[in-house]
Amino acid sequence: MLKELFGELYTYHRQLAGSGAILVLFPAALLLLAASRRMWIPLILSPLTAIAAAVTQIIETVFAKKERKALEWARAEEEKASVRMFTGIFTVCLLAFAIILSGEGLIFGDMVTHKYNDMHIPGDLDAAMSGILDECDSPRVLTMPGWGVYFKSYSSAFDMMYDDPYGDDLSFDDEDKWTAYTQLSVLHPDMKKVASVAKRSGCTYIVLSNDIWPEVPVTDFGYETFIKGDMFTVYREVAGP
Amino acid sequence: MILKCAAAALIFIVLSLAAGSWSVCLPGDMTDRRIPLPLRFSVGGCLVILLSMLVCLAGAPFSLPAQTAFGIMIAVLVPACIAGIAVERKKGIKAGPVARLHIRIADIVLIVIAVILFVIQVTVVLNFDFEQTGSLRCIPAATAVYDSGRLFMADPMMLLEGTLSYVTKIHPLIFICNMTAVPLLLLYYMCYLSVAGCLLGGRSRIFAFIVTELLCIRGYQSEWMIPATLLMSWYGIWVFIVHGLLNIAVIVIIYTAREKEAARYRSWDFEEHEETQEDIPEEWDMKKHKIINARNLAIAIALLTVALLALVFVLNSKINSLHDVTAALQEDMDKRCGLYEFAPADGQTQGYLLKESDGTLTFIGGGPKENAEALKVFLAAYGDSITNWYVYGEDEENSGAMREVISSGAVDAQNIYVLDRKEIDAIK
Repeated sequence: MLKELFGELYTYHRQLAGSGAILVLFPAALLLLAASRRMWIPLILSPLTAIAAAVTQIIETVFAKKERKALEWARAEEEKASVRMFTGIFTVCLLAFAIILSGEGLIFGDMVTHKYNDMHIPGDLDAAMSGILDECDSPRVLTMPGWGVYFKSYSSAFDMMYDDPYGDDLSFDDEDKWTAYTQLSVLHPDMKKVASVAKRSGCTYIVLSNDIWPEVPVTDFGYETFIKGDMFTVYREVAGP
Repeated sequence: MILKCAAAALIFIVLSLAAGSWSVCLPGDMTDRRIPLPLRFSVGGCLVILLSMLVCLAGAPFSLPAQTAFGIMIAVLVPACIAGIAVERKKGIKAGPVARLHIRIADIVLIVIAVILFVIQVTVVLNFDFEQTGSLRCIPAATAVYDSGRLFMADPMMLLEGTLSYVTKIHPLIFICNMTAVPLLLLYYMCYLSVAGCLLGGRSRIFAFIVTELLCIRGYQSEWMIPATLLMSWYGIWVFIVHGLLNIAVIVIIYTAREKEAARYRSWDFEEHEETQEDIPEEWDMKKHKIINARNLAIAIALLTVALLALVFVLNSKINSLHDVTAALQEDMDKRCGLYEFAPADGQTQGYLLKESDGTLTFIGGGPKENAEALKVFLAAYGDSITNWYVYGEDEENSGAMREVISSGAVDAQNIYVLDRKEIDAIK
């Protein structure tokens, strides 16, 4: 029970403030700095500096040379050094515990890819955006989840069918938006539904990733291929008679 | 692009150092000290950005043209920098590294490590993309300013970025993702170095700065905190507040506290008191050597209380989320498939509507023609197209309502079947 609660707290804190290690590191750092009276109160505003100062404090304590002055001062310094040493050892153990608990905490890996262009837009999606804008001044576009921000960042002329949800909030004010979002989030989307909601919402263009595998292409439902790129395809609504 | 980035960085550094003259106004007697360059740069940089953002924010309600806003920015910043330099000269303080800094080989090694870590981070942010697009959420505001040439109410930092993009005719994505990376990251790290310098000295300061860099590179992995991470986004207002303004606030608080302590120490009348350890004010004497004392106990209890409250909060939110998920699932199931009973005013069941998960409607029954109006109202709530309609007979008693509803055009039925209610006795 306690293990599950702690795991839940760690996960929740990780969602809120990133690595769960900060949950342990920051209070431990404040505790250490409070014990050594190193101006710890203002550092509540700067968590990273607090942790860094605490780590430095530990290093200083481990490698500090005892200064022999007057007998009273020397004795006070010894007691002070022993307190700092004990606190330092305790904090080091806490830090090690936090680092072990952090698990896969590193950013690098699957989260990072080499940039495609100076705009940091994936693939040659900028060519697609440019092509759409050449044809239409205020295009309404339906695209993959997560791509909408690229379109809006490229040009304010784009009118996206839905805004990408933020965090865990997956609520949409429109069932068509929800349908489009959920369908395009899977590997085999139902293109009939996608095309249907796109037409109802007035989306002239649909930009899809080439990584999805619909059983029936969207070209069967009133859209034609407009631009084909390496990682995307732009479909344009077929004009009616 | 490299030249443009270098020019942007140079302009920002020069402006920041000039505006950093105002750091002479920090609390404390600085007449016999030099202002460290990191402190000067961090204070000046934050001041430049803050003033520029305030100009943009002030012009936003009036849809001020970006060109005009830029002109006002220059008109505000240049006199501010000149005034700062004048104040600094009047106080007779010089800027530069701390006097009599003894640099050893170990210090040089640490400085080189710090520089390498900074270069690594800048290289990563300039040459790599992150899968997390949450950090880009604020950029459309800058693009809107760039496209329209006018300011509007939005993230102040994005208004500033958009204004500068418009003036330089460089697309915001290129401007933000390339040209502002080096100056802004340098500013924020200098803020951290300045805070470390306030607390620690010499090699310890550099070591603390390296630890800060490592923490920043390790980064946050929170969708909520992405707008404030230095690895994924260095251009938002929250980044500026968290890594810039708050650090400056820490520096001001520390300087103020030290000034008060120094003033109190200066006012301590040593002639009346013997200079013994017990008489020196508590702030200057490490009296408390015990770990278990009132202060530490209070801190420990406070931390435990916060942890307990957090656990309760997390457990409660988990239970609530489970409930919400269950309720949503039930609602979704209700919407997707269901069996609905058609019972007109007299209460007797006259038919059933089966709604399948793909939206297909099947109706069984209907009754006589008198039920037609009630049936129209009933079916209107579920749709106007019945895929399969089954009636118990072709006579008016069993199919009258169906014929009336379809012939009036209220509902369309693709297939109509008559159920042959022939009982199978052989199975019994």
